[in-house]
Amino acid sequence: MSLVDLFRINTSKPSLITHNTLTSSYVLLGLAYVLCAAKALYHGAPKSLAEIDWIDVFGEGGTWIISLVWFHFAVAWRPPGPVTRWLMTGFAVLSFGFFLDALDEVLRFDETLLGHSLESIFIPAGITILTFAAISLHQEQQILNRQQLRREANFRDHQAIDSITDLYNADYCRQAIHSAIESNTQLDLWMIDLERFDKINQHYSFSTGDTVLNRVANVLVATAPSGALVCRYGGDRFILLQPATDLTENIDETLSQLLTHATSFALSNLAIKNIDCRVRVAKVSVNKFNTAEAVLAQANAVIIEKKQC
Amino acid sequence: MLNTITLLDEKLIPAWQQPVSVLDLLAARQLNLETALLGSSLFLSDAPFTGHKINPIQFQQLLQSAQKLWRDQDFYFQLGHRLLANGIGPLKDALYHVHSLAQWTDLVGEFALLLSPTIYCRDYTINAHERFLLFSSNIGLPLNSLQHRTLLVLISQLIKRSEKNWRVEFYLSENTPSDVDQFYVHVAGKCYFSSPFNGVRIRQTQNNNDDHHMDISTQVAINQCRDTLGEKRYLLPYVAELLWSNHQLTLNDTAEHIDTSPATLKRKLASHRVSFQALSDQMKAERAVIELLLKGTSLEQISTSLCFHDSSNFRRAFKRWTGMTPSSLKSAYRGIFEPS
Repeated sequence: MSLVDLFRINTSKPSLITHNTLTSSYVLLGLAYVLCAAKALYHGAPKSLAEIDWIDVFGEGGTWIISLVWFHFAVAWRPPGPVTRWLMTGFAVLSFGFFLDALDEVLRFDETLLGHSLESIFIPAGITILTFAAISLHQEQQILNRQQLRREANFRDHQAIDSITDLYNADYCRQAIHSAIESNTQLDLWMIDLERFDKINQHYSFSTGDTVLNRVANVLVATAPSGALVCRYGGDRFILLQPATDLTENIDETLSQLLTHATSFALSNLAIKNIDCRVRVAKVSVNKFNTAEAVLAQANAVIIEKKQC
Repeated sequence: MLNTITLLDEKLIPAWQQPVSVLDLLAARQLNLETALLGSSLFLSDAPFTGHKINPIQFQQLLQSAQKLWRDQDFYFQLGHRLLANGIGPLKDALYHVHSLAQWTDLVGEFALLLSPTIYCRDYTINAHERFLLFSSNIGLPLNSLQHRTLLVLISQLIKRSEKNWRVEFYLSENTPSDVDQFYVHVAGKCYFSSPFNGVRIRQTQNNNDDHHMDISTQVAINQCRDTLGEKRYLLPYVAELLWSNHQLTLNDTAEHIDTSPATLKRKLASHRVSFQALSDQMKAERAVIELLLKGTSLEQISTSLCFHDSSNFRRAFKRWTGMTPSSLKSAYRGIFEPS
C-alpha cells in the first residue's frame, strides 16, 4: 500500500472498483494515538497506584473502547462518501477526546497542553461533527427510501429481503395483501411466472439463473406503475401488487418481450445470447377474497391452468 | 445378522452424487464449501469424490451446514431442482425411460437411498392405474420435513419432465408450513398438509398403455444403480419393509428373518431410537389408514388382513394409533381422499 492509498479516504470518488478504506483510516487514527501517547509520556509523569481511581479508569477507558467500536462500524458498514466521512471524523475526534480523558487518569500532565483544556475541546467538537453527520444521514435516508420505491410497502424488515433479487419475499407480500384486505383497499395482484426457467438453470448454470432472476426483478421494479409493490414469490415467480385498474388486456406478450430483451442485454457480457424469458401472468382482484392465502392460492391455480394449455 | 444388513454408520451413499450437487448449489452462490463439509467426512481436496461414500448422518450434517450458509428459505427446494440435473446418477435415466407405473415405483423403492439418502419409500398398490408411495425416515422417527421437501421437488419434477402425464398428489403430515408458497412454486403437483401420513399418490391418466418393455439402455442404467449402491441395506428400512409386506411378523419372526437374536434386533433398533413395537404399530396403522381412505375397504376386511381377532379390538387399536375412530378419520379427510 502506497502513501497515496493511505489517504484515499479523502480523495475517494464514485468507482466501480471497491477500495478498502478500513486499513487506511485505522493507520491514521493509530498514528494520532501513538504521537499523543508519546508526547504525554514525555511531558507528564505516571501517577502512583494509590492515586489511581480504578472505577474512573474502567469507566473512561471503556467509553473510549466503545467509541472506537462505533468508529469501526461507521467505516465497515457504509460505502465511502461524504456522510461516511463526517461519521468517521466525528467518531475519530470523539474517541480521541475520550482517550485523553482516560489518559489523565493514569498520567499527570498539569502544565502541559494535554491537560483538561484539550480534552474539553475534543469531546464537544466530536459531538458537533456527529450531530452534523446525523442530519446528513437523515437526508440520505430519505433519498434512499425513494430508491426503495416499488420494492417496499412502508414497512422495513431486512430479514424478509431475498438475497438473489433484493425484493421482499412471499411472507412480506402476504402481509401486504392481508392489510389491503383489512383496510378494504382495492388492489390487483399480478403473479408473473417465468416459462421454462429450469432450462436456463440447466443449460447455463445456477449462477446464471440467479443473474436472470435478479435482472427480471430489476426490470419489473423499473416498469411497475407508481404505487406498486414488487415481491419475489419464490423460485421463478414474482408478484406485482398495485392499485386496481381496468386494464384487462393480455400483458403476457408485452412483458415477455420486454424481459427477453432486457435479460439478453444484461447477460451479453457473459457471452450468453438469446435468453428466452417468456412469462405467464395471472391477474387476481385482491378484494374478492377474504384471506391473503386464498388470493395467493387463486393466483397459483391460474398459473397452473395456463401452464397446462 | 445377515451380512447385507447394516447400521447407520456404514457408508452407503455415493459422495459423487447428492453431496456433489449440494456443493454445486453452494458454489453457484460463491459460498464457502469448506464450512459446508465440516463433519461430513469429506474434504474438498478429494473432490469430485469418485468412489467416496458417506453415511446418512454425515449427509444430514452436510445439508444442515449448507442450509445455514444459504440464508434464503428455499434451500431444500432448490436442491431438488439441482439434483434433477445430475444428482441421482443413472437413476435419472432409468426413471425417465421406464413407462410402466409399477416398474417406476419399484425402482423408486429399490433405489430410495439414491433419491433421498435419509428417506425410504414403501410401495402400495391401490389398483392397476394407481400407486401410493409412503415416505419414512432412514435415521429414526420422525421424518425430516426439510429433506422431505427436496424429495417432493425431485419426484414431481422427474415425472413432469419425463412427460409421463401422471397425476401426482403429495400428502404431508406437517401442518400448513410458513414456506407453503415455496411448495406452490417448486412442487409440480398438489400438496395436502395435516395428512395422516407422508406420501405420494400417482395416477395414470386413461390412455397410458402399460408398456412393460424396457430398452437395453434403461437396463444398463438400472444395473449401474445396483453397482453404485451395492448389496447392503440399512436395518431400519429393511425391517420396516418386512413388516409392511407381512403384518403378522413378531419380534422373534423378524429376528429369524435377518438371522439374529431378538435381543440383538431390539438393541440395534434402539440405536435408531425406534422400538420394534412402535415400528410394527406404525406399519399397521399406515396400512389401515391407507386401506380405509384410498380404497374404502371395510373395517372387517382391514381387521382380518391385519390379523385382529375381532373388529372391536381393531377399532381400539386404531384409536390408539391415530387418536381417532375409523369413521371420524374418514369424515375428517373426506375432501382430500376419494377412494378410487
